[in-house]
Amino acid sequence: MKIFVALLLAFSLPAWAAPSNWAAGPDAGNITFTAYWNGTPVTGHFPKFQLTARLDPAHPAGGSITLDIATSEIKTQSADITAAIRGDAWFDVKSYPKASFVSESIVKETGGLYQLRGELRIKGHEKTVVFPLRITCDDGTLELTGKLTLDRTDFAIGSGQWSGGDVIAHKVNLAFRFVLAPAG
Amino acid sequence: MGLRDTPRRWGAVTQWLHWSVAALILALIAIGWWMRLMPLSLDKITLYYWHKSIGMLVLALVLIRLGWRAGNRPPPLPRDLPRWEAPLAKLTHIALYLLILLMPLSGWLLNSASGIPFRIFWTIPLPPIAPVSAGLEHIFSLLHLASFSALALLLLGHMAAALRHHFLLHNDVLLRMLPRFGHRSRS
Ligand code: HEM
Ligand code: HEM
Repeated sequence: MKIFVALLLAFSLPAWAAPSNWAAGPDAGNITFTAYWNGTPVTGHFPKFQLTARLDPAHPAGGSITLDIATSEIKTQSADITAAIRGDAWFDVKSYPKASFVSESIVKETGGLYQLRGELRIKGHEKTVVFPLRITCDDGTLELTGKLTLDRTDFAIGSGQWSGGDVIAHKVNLAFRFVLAPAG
Repeated sequence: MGLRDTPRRWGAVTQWLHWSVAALILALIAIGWWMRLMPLSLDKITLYYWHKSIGMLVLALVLIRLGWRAGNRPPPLPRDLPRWEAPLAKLTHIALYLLILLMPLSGWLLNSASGIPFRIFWTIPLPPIAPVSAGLEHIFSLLHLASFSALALLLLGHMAAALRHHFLLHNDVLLRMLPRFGHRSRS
């Protein structure tokens, strides 16, 4: 009997530890942002996105996370601001309806914290970003949460007369939460 | 000139409030039209900021003015006016007060429904007094425009009446709202 249990454990461990496939659609999370206009926060979100991951939280080294965001669906607290930032000088959603993030490395730190590094592509501009990621395992799902701060001018969001940072700050805070379910 | 209103003249406080509100409202009308016609730009946004800030300042000044008026007795109109004129003047003045309250209030509602964050003169956050909604925003925008149209009509009548009193009826009505440069009648 003991041998049987030991064998079972021995066989099941590697299987459990292997990276598995995960996915999260728009109903399973949110991507919100806060920009600053004359020092006052303006909030918004990206309601449409698709995240896919190959990830084992215990051994994240070989894992990967890919996120596609429909920038064309961007929403802010104000219909007027939403209409404005879909325009050419901002997200130019006609030419660039999608943004993406592709991970390059996931490094485990202490607690449930990881360091995520990847390529962010918005409006045709690419930039490598590194930021802390928290992964929580719960009941067969993985919850990914984190925050990062971007400089909108790295992606030409707000070009031309809007590129100054006095009225509309360069800094934009992003926050996200995804609940990943096993996929295929 | 005393601070308070007297049976013969408007006092300094009323005069100061009347003319500063008048100047600010004329500026608001000019800025309001101009800013709407501009294509989206930083300058346009800044003009909106000024318009809203000055508009809220007008609201404060009008409230102060109404408070001051309640504690003062305004000079009565000349006795030799045609019978219809005093009630008409009174009615116009009440309507003017209502409209210069409704202008900033509809602006405030409009700004609230638009969801655009705003701080009066870049300092005091303006709390919303209506939920964010495109439908409401449209209604309040119409209200703002309608009260402006009514205000513009009344102001034309108001100014014409003031000038008529001065140049045609040769009475004190305009002068008693002005600092005492040269007083026309002794009585
Ligand atoms: C935005 C512009 C203006 C507004 C909102 C406005 C409003 C008012 C109001 C509400 C009163 C009534 C005062 C009271 O009974 O408490 C008043 C009085 C008066 N206004 Fe104006 N006014 C404006 C512009 C002008 C202009 C341009 C003139 C001159 C051409 C003028 C001349 C007068 C005079 C002479 C009085 C005193 C009437 C009296 O003695 O009974 N106002 N104004
Ligand atoms: C006595 C005070 C005010 C006057 C006389 C005034 C006058 C005007 C005028 C003439 C316009 C252009 C015509 C129109 O679109 O309706 C306008 C537009 C506007 N005003 Fe005011 N305004 C006042 C106060 C305010 C305040 C306090 C706010 C906001 C807090 C405000 C917000 C706006 C906005 C957002 C517009 C653009 C209208 C739109 O998009 O439909 N106004 N105002």
